[in-house]
Amino acid sequence: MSMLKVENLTTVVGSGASAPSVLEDVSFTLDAGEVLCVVGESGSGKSMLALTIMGLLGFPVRRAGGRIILDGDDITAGGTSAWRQRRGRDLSMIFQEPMTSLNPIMRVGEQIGEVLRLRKGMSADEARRRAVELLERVEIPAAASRLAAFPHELSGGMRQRVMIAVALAAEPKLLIADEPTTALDVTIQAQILDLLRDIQAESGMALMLITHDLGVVAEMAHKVMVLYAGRVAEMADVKTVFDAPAHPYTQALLASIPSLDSGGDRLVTIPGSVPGVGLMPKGCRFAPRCPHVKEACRPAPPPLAILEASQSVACLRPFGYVRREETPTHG
Amino acid sequence: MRDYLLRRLVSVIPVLFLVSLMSFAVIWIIPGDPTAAFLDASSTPEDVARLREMLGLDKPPLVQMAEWYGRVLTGDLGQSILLRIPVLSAILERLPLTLLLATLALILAVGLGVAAGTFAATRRGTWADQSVMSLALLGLSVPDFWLGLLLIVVFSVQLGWLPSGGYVPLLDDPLGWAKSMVLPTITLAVVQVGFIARMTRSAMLDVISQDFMRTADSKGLSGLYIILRHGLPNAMMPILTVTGIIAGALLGSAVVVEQVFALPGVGRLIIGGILSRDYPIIQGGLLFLTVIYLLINLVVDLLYATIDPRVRLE
Ligand SMILES: Nc1ncnc2c1ncn2[C@@H]1O[C@H](COP(=O)(O)OP(=O)(O)OP(=O)(O)O)[C@@H](O)[C@H]1O
Ligand code: SF4
Ligand SMILES: [Mg+2]
Repeated sequence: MSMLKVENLTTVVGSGASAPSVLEDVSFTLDAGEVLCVVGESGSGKSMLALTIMGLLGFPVRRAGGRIILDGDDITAGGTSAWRQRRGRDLSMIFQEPMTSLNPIMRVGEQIGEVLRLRKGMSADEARRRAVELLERVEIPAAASRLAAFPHELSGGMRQRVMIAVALAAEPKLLIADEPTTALDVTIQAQILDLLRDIQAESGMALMLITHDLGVVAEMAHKVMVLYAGRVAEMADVKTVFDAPAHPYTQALLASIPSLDSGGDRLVTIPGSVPGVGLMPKGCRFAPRCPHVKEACRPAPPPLAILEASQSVACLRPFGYVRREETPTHG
Repeated sequence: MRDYLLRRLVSVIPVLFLVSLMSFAVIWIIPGDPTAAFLDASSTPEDVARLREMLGLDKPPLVQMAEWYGRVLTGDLGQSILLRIPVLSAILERLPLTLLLATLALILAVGLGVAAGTFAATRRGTWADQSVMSLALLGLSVPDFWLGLLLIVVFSVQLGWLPSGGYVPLLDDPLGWAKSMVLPTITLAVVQVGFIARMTRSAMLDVISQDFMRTADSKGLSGLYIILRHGLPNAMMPILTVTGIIAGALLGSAVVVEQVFALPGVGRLIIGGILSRDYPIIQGGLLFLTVIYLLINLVVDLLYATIDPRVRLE
């Protein structure tokens, strides 16, 4: 059984039936022990998806429909207080900005400890011991002495390690990490990702990792979900995504990274940009930028269709009728 | 932290020096001959000379100043012309009442203001927010002497619940004491409640939108806990700044309120001094109030450093 099952999730901005959506009809599943990478350009709704699942949307953004089933229970069913009970127990999240995500005037030990005491019911002593273990687990040197540190006394990488420790304190079934390394130096990025992968593998939790770095996807993912303008464009296992991307947008994303085998000079960017919220085309949202667009793409958005067991795609002309290997290379 | 305390203490010294200079200069700033008020047509030139000598006006200004500093440093603020007792004892006798009044009003203002501002911030844009903020604006706009008179008319004259003025010592009659303090405290606090409520609301709104508040929410902590444990302490810096300013304003308003409610505090002493041109009283009183004000702000700065570890680094 899936650890996380998201069904027809729709998130909108504002009230009323005509409120524009930032997520529309998003469905996917994620098993325990699996890593799902969510990719897509800026503004495609990756963070909105994370916040929607966490129940952390703030006014005026709200979930307008769909279900989120965590380990068999529909967490959208019990209202906000039941959802709150899931956070810090079954659900944890790591945010993009380690510099601002920690309370600047609270000691690191307390920021971890409050989860342990208030959410896990530990005594102050137990919480202290466990906090040290967690800091050791995220490879912070001299862990015991760091309990009394304030965030400003730590580097960005160290702070993100603390954030991971905070998230792990809950021993979550699902950990969502929203671009956890984007704000960090390249060398630190690799360390943090290694750490996340090790912890994920050893704890068996499900990990939803948001990134716009396809290198990270190749390193970390079991499954990949490509979001475009709030809709799922393609969902596949990692090998399939790199070997046989079906959606023109996925193909364009892959083409936009410089690859070593073509001499590193193939840096193609996708022309145009993601349509703004409320300015979506009626049919396929990628149509204005799609090289394979036909009239049939315009009246209604194409549904996510299963191509083969490991690959679904929301496109009327998957592969654009032409396999990527056969696409003429640029340069 | 000890270094910070020391640095902060040292920085107070030049301010104290300036303040005492200004208290001293009062005698020249207020127009007219300082001796005129105490003399009448029958006074002889000898009387004038004696008074000038008593006030030290017969010496060159620089010497006067040096003597003033010398005396202030040894705690001698001179002799009241009218009361014929040392200024220091006149002030010390009345100081407890003024400090008590200001402290009660400060506690009331901070407690109510922070609660109201936090409440409004967490309900931003709702009618509850708007009502609280309208009340705060109303409180902010009411002149203190007018409010004092209004309260007297309603609660003393009409309802007869509370005395219209006068002071009952705590030890003589605790209930009477409490009753005598209610109206002056409220009068003094109302303006500042409005001020603190508005400041707290905007500080809390700033904090609520910050990333770490979302992190706290992602931990599944309760809304009230998040506001009290993560929100308020981070909003405390601007609130403290305002509290420091308010403590000064309270001392100023206390002067008016003591007059309205006939309370024998330092404020009333200074007003009496001004009306009768009792220069030593004016000088001593001002010096005292300013020193208290400086002390309050020193405490505020130390609280900053306690609350926010980043301040100690600066
Ligand atoms: N409070 C809001 N009100 C209106 N629109 C919003 C709000 N927050 C986000 N959006 C819009 O929702 C869309 C999705 O935003 P989201 O932050 O999820 O993108 P993202 O994929 O995480 O991008 P990035 O890679 O830049 O983090 C964007 O078009 C954004 O402008
Ligand atoms: S549905 Fe049509 S427009 Fe949309 S991606 Fe496929 S080919 Fe392009
Ligand atoms: Mg984002």
